[in-house]
Amino acid sequence: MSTTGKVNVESVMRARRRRRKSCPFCADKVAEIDYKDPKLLRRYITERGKIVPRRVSGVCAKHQRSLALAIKRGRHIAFLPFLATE
Amino acid sequence: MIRHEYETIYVTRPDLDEVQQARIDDKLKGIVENGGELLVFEQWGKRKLAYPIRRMLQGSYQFLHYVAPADLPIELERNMNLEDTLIRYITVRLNENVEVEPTRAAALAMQDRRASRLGLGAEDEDGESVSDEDSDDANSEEG
Ligand SMILES: [Zn+2]
Repeated sequence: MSTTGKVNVESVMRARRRRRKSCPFCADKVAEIDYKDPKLLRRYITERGKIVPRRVSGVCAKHQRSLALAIKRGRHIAFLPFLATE
Repeated sequence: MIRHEYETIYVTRPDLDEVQQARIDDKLKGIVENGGELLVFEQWGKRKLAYPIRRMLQGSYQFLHYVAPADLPIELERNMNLEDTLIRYITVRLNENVEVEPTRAAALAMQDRRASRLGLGAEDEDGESVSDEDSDDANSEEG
């Protein structure tokens, strides 16, 4: 097809530009992120136990602060690791 | 008197017997009841710790939700610090200057969602809550 090449170029350019992800906590109208929700928080730490940067996760600045606090509390109470052991 | 809404989680050694556990629970609940209003007390049971504490791999989790003046959490923490078998605690102020009864109603309404987030009841879905049969691997040596 004559349009195939053009479409591919456009999709490549779109992929290369950083996709504007919307904050999942804003979407769910979350006021404060719960440190007693280890399953949720584990989605936002790496295998090494570090907090995923918001440019990767798409979390907004406000919720990233709330998330960081929740992860800090979760670590203190041993719901979450400080650093991966392996 | 201005009172605030707090929650405290405290973690005790996984190898306490019922009498030892009840002594700590009753003491801490008593402090809250004396100086404030205890809204909710929950025993979450033994859970896997995300990292070893004093060589222990599991802890027994308890939860207090209460309304009290600002000096009560300090008194509670002073008492928790005195307990050798209490290995971790955290206190969070949830809301300032609250009325007891609406706060109690909201606290009771939150229980189901909290249990589901913590995987309570649902047996060990991702390895965080631990049944009694599995609890032998808790290393009970003092660190
Ligand atoms: Zn957000």
